[in-house]
Amino acid sequence: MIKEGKFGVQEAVSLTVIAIVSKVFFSSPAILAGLVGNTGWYMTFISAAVALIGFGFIYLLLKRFPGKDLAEIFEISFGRVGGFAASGLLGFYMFFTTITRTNEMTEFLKVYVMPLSPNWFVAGIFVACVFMLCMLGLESMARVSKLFIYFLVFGFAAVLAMGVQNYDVNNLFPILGQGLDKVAFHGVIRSSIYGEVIILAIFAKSLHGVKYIKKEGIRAILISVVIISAGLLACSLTFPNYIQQEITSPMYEMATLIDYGRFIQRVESIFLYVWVIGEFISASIMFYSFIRLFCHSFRITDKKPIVIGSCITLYALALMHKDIITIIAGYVAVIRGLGSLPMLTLPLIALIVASIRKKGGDVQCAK
Amino acid sequence: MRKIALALMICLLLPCFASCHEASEMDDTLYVIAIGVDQGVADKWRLTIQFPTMKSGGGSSSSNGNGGNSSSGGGGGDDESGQGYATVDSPSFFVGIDMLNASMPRKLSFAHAQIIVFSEELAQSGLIGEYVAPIGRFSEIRRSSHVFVVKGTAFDFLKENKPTIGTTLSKSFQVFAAASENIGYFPHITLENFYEGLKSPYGQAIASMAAINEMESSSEEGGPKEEQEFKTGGEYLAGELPRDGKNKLELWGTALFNGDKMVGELNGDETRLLLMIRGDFRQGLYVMQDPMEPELIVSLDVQLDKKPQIDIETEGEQPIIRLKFQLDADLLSVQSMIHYENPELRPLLEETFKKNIEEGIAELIQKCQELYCDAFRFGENAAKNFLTIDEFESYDWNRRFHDAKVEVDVDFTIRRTGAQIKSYPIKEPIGEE
Amino acid sequence: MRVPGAIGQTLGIIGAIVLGQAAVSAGLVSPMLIMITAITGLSSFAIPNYDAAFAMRMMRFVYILLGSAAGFYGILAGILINNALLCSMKSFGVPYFSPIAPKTKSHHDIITVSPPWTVKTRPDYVNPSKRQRTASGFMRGWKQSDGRDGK
Repeated sequence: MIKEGKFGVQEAVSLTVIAIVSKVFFSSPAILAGLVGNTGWYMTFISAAVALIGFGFIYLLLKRFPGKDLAEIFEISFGRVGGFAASGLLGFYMFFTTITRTNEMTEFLKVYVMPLSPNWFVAGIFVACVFMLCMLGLESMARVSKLFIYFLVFGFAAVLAMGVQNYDVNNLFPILGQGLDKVAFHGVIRSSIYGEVIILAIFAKSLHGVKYIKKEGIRAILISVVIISAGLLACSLTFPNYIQQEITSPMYEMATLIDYGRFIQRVESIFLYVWVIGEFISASIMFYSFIRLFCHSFRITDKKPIVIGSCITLYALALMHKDIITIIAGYVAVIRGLGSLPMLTLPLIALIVASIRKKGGDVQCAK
Repeated sequence: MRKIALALMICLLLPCFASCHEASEMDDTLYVIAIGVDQGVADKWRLTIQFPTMKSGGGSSSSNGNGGNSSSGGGGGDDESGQGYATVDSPSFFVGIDMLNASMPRKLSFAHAQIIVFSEELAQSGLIGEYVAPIGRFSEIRRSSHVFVVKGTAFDFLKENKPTIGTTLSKSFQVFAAASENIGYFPHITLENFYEGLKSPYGQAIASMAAINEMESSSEEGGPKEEQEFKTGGEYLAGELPRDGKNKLELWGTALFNGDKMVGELNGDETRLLLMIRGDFRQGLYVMQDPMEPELIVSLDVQLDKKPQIDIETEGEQPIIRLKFQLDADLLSVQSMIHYENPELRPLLEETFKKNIEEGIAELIQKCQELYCDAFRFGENAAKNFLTIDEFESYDWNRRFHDAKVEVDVDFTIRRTGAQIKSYPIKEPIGEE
Repeated sequence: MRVPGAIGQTLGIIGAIVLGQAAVSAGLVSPMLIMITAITGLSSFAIPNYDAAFAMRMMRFVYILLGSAAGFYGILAGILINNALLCSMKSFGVPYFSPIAPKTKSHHDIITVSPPWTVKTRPDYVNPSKRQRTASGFMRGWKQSDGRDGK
């Protein structure tokens, strides 16, 4: 039985922040530069605002059913079958995200760090780490994220600070990029970037109470928006938008350009440290939330065999893609485009249905 | 406990993966320091690489280059020059690498490539775009390497590239190329800057010029010529400096590009003005004719403290560029011993120098306008007048620059006068009238 | 190690140096590996606790194996798993990384150590029956110094 003890505010915040922020290290800045030009750094504020509204609905939903987590709430709101479908949808989405994370990590490591290693080797190590982390339980994952977040944020800030020699403010002009309408449109659609805040709801039983969940969610989104915006700003300052859209990983290339004389150069290994560890933890927590939802739907109490089986499935599916463009333009585009549906609108629907059917809240439930 | 045992057991299986994929010892790789590209004779490209040969024994003398070669066990003597070069004609960059790998005992690695050299012929035929594209996509070559355009062939240039002080090739070139900050006679252009410039709607690309100086001028005989006209020392183009010495290489001047075709070259003085406008000029020693005694000169150590203030109006037919910057100087030498330090005469010096600079800038910008080359990145300032990228790109700055009107305002102050605050005249020889 | 006194230390150090030099000259191992082993061995002396230092010295070889198998990526995976295992451990009911990993109330001693007489409460993670160290809440009550700490 994997223990899922309780953990506090700081651990929850660090877990959520790492889960959200790891995606900025991949090709997101490049895709954004293609869509909205050099305005990604303030477009992300719009996304965060939408995500905060979405989180508001999640919070209201949790407040209505205190002491229960999201899977149980779906069952109560939608009924047995509907809850199964909703949990299934969300769980499948989490699994898809994990596969995408694994694929992204494997492909980018193969492009930049280990071009000659075979795919199964790199993906194998990744899946082995995810497996170990999941076996150790949610509490350990939260503690590990709290432990590492100081180093990760420090490393990230160090890379941004050292890149100052390559910043050119003129790269930010024209200030409105491709036009304010496109910025707003993409900002709203891509609010799925902050969608991982739903893990706070999925693991609501391990947190101390609804009041804390509200604090944690808001803090997590605010900290992530600062980090993501700083990263996108640094990329836009270093590369003009026509170059930024070409690069596979703008943040990595930015770290490569740091050159302060004979000693401080070629420091992208620091950046690799931040990136890889953040990604391990992020993929593990998404995978664990899938396990959680899956086990709850099927009323399975012992998670260990499910973890083993799902890891093997994950490994098999992670090796299925043919090329890197399928991942960037295919999987990731799907997640960004449709991600707000399961992450942010599903709780909203649950809230509406619950208030219509008069479940929870002050009304005494018959069930 | 069982989890720990499980984890450790997995780790013990790891040696079966050791070194089977990616691992390569430092002894097995050949680190390429310089890459040269020419138009090939037998095939499309001529690729030249230069690398250090690690011939000295393990940790013996201080003249050891990079790393140690542990299996040689001390002793193999130093080569006279600790670097080697190899060249191949090939249809593309990557095939060339493989062809070279076949003739080198070690595997090539470009992770330490510091300079990329193109020949002038290649640049003038407009083929650089084709050649830079694979380099941008290749993740091993860093975008912080320096880019040079060389007169003659890159092959000759790299052959002459021997470190004269110290034996480490990689160190000597890094320091050499970084000298741009101290003298300002050639710009510091990395692959990233060059690549951006090739694609940019804000301006055009530039690259540093380099050349091999055959030292012809010092072999001319005879004394100084009778009528020496005033030269500033910076007027030469690369390769023409009248000097002698062991090192044949020269980094001097700028290559101007329009798109991916090289259309012009700037000499040393013009390069300094270019760097001043771009805000990259830090310090340089200047010489000017003494306004009161034109045969003698005054030397100044000029510095640019703040970046220039550039305002561009894009409303009307002709864009108007207003350029304003401030130069500070230290007085280095006054050959005529005239007391220029005193507050009445100093403005005379300042005015003369200011006029020289302003005229120089006007000529330089005129020259660049004719070549359709906005090497000063004025386009970046022009972009501030537009709200969206589409508007700016339809304005087409690079074409409009040709018609722009430029107003220059230089503010020049002599701040310090060196270790002397007054000059007393030297006495004339007695008895010789 | 088991040789008495000063001889033991010196013998250990000199033996290590000689062996390392001989191995490098003979070409058995690359000098890089010797450097890494020596530096990590020396660094393990920075860990105050003898048992922890010893454990780190053992783990060094696991990291070398991971590094040879998968390079930097393998070492990062090793760091993560190592720390995850440590975070999941409890010694005498107290989580291993206590003041940091589960955040507890009193956290005066994480990076710097403050003088013991300034500490007013017992640490939270040992679940003491009384949080305050002194009944009055003031420390060093016996010190008569113009009503600063004492009454």
